[in-house]
Amino acid sequence: MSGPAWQGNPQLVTAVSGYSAFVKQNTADLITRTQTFCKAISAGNMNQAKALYPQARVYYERIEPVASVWGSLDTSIDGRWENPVTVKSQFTGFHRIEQMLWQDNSLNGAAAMCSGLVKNEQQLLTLVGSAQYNPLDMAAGATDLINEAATNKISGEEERYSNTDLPVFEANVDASMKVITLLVPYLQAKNASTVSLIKQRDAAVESLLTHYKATPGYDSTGYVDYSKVTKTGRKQLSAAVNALAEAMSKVSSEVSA
Amino acid sequence: MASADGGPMVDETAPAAADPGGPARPSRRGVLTGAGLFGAGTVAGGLTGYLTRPGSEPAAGGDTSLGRQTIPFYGTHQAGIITPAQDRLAFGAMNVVGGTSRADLRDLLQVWTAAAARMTAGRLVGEENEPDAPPVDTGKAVGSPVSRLTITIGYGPSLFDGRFGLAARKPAALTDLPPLPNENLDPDYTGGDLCVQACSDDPLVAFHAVRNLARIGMGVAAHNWMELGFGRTSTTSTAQATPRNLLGFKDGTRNIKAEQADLLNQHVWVGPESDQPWLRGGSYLVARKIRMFVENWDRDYLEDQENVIGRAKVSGAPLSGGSEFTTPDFAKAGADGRPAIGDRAHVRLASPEHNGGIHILRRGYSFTDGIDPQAGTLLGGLFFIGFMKNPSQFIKLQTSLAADALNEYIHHTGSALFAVPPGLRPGQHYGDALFA
Repeated sequence: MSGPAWQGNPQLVTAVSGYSAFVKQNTADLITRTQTFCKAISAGNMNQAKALYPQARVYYERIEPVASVWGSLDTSIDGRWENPVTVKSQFTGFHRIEQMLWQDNSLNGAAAMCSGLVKNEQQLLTLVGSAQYNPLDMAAGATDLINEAATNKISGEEERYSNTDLPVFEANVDASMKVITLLVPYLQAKNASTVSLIKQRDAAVESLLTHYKATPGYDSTGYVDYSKVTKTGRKQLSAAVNALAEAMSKVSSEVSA
Repeated sequence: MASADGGPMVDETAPAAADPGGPARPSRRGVLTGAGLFGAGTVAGGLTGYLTRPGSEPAAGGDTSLGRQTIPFYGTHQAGIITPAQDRLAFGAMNVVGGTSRADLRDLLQVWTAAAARMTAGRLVGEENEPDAPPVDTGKAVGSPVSRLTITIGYGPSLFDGRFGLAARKPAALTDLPPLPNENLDPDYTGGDLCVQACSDDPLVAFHAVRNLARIGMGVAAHNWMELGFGRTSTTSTAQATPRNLLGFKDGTRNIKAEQADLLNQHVWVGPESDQPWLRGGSYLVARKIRMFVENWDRDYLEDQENVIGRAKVSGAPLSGGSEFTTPDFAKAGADGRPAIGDRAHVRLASPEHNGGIHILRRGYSFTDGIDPQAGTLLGGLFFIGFMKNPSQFIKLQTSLAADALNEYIHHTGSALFAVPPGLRPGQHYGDALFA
């Protein structure tokens, strides 16, 4: 349903307000966790910082489809070395700090970089506070998150220095399933088979992920080091997550028509 | 998006397939087919022009140009075997993913059948386009004439490993090929539970067919490799001229042709000798990715190239004399008293005369994967496809080729074997006979 028609449907209204709250809460948690991370950096505690890095990252990975709307802010927080700049001084945010921790093995300049990251996240929180969503945005965002997992995580591209891809992979999947959970009261009546297909394929992803869970795991992430996941294992994960994305892509027309 | 009754939709041109159904239990059954494919439900206004893949309709109004020609999907044998070889190939090998049930696999084969029937008729796999939904058909071939598209599917030995209750249906001859001479197989290009061979005179149409089927298969089957062929290297009909491979030689001069029914029955079609009735009228497909070291070959002197092959490069005539289609005389001596066609010449070692009368039907394509990033040399060669009554034919030939002088210039880097089920009648689907 184009335009504001969905606003006449209480189930969709509830879903959208639930999503709005979810995004705000995760953005707030992102800030809290990043501040904790920054404290370890300021204290010069490299090992603790490494353990706290993925714990902060996952919050961003849950809200990424929303956060990426503000392109330059997203680049400042989550940009990679090559995207879109190649000047070291302009490479900021999580992945620059990741590089310092795992590759440079130096905290030189990390504290300032981290406080800049928090400032950007606070700006994000302000923007998120006034953001408006509709069911189609939610559905498209859910598919985007799975696409994120299917491309940047499977390849190991995103967490290239730390190999902490698995917890953020899980964050992508969890957040997209959160959208589905919010929409289920509506979707169940509209197209129950799509819901069950999504749930089934999510279960397939989760079941593959359990092979890689570990306690306390690599870098205390609850998972093994992603570089230890074999080519066959990555291929299986990729097939499962692509199948989930394909199923999820059917939701958009259900919530908009 | 689902069809009005939520039930499976099949090709409208065919009578609806009777679905004997299965035991009621949780499965992806019904979901795959009810997820919007082939739905004839709501069509957004103004988009009806998308319904029949504009520009791709079969011949109409006396237009018999090659691009408009369709190859019948239904028949005794699957199309794409003796169909006069099209110019382009897209070949996908897929594995069935973990957690797939027998019913899921059967459903996939049913949906693939309907999709293949539609695409080979120049139609889209689905006729819905809603602005808020991903298009049912990926749309890549909209506007591209059907160009004799054929889609041929096959089952690898691993499909019969017990995951789907098919162990008793495994043909005795469908066993992984043994280690063979001159191969160093890359696991990334070897094996597969299922294969899809799409051939067309238009590369985009062939690619689109495999891509659509892969997309439909997600959650049930996942690609493990794919190859594109950019030029046919064989002739499967006397009406076709012999093409050249990347060695610059005519290839397939002595291939079995569609017109040779006796040879086809003897060497290509599976008959009553098979232990599996479902495969009768089908065939076996051997795929081999053969890298050619073209840089080395192209700097070999002409006479040596011709001696390696056993034919003249330009005319294709055997070195024993005559013209291209003259039967080679392997006994004939050259001026120096030695055989005109050398002992290690490729055509001698591959010939029926040298192999107890064995023929196979070749249907290969030239391919390239670009340039070796380390060496800067071509990663390309021949994507060999051979159809035969029994894989033992290929094993015998390839074993004979152990002494092939050509081995200095080629190397087998990928391999797969598939059982290709027979053709279908309207209303049947690929899995009917297999799962019966």
